[in-house]
Amino acid sequence: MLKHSDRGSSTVESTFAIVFLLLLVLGTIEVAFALYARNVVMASAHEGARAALELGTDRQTAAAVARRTVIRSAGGLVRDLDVKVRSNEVGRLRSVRVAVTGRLAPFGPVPIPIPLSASADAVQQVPRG
Amino acid sequence: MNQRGQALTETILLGLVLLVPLIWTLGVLADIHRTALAVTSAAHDASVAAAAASDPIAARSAIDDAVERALDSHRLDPRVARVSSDIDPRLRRGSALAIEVRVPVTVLQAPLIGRVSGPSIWVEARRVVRVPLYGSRG
Amino acid sequence: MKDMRERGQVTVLVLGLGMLAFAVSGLAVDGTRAFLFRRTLQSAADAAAIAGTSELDRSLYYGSGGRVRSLDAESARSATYRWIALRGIGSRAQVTVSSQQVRVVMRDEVPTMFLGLVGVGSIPVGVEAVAEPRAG
Repeated sequence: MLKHSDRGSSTVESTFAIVFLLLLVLGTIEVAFALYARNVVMASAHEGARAALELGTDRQTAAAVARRTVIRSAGGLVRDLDVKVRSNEVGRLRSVRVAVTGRLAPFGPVPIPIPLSASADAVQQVPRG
Repeated sequence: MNQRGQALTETILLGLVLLVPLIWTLGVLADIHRTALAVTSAAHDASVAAAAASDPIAARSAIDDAVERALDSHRLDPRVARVSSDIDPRLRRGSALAIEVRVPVTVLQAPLIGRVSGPSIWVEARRVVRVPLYGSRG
Repeated sequence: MKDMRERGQVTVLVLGLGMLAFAVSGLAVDGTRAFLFRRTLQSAADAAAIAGTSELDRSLYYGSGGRVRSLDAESARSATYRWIALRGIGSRAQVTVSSQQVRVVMRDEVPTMFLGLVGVGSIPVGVEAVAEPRAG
């Protein structure tokens, strides 16, 4: 049987406990989301570089294709997406480098937007003839 | 009197005990996710490069190159990858080209120490493509 | 000294949390397997669709000096199915071919290891791949 003075404190304790657990759960979800978004940004940079090589006939088209690919894959997840594309041609070797930066919108206990970045290279040998 | 706050303490301890394996599981899952994306890209890029190569030797070197680049883009060490390919000895047009890329994901990891060797989950991607009938090569 | 009633509460709590942990790890394991299989299926569908686009209508192609790239629907469809069989996955595949496109839809069910205990016997997976013939 609870003592008279202990009665109110168990409710307060329960509240603290629930709040703590909630923060833990939300924090875990945010960590999971951040890891997932990081993976998607890396993959989209690579896909952008490859798409630019396959479909980009000149520098501008390559840059546009890369940008479009990245935005299509990662745009829904990541805010303030910035895509930098650099293409190079040396002899028969074409290369494209795509650098992606963005920020993950915060929703959990951590109110700071998490910065994400990735860069990827793709190289292609232009066929003879 | 000394039972005051005990429930809260127990809950916090329980929460932390749950948290550690949970974060560990998250880390492993995120690694599997990243590796899966990486090997799929690697197999795809390697097959495209190999199918456009002029001969089987050029194809194999193109495969290794493509896999290394793909894994690099996903910040994985290309040296741990196992790549196997099945290429027609003359790389004839219309022939089948099979590429398999396998990368291990370490399951035992410590937050500060990093990866500890031990059991790992192998994530693989296999791609079977056809050497194009038309188009320039090499 | 904890009294008997509190002891019982702790046991229930631990049991409940244990079941929750089991369910979560089950979700993680089965979810990961389904995710990995989905990527395998998507890769196979992509490769098959691309293989199908090699089957150009030759008379049209050569007759126009390489300008008209139109697919020979029959051989494209059979080539695509042949390439799906070559890959050896065994999932259900549906191939639709038009003069400019090969579309492959593949479906399968991934049997669960943990979630079966809570009534989810398998996770359905479906992918689609579309390919067009291209110059180069």
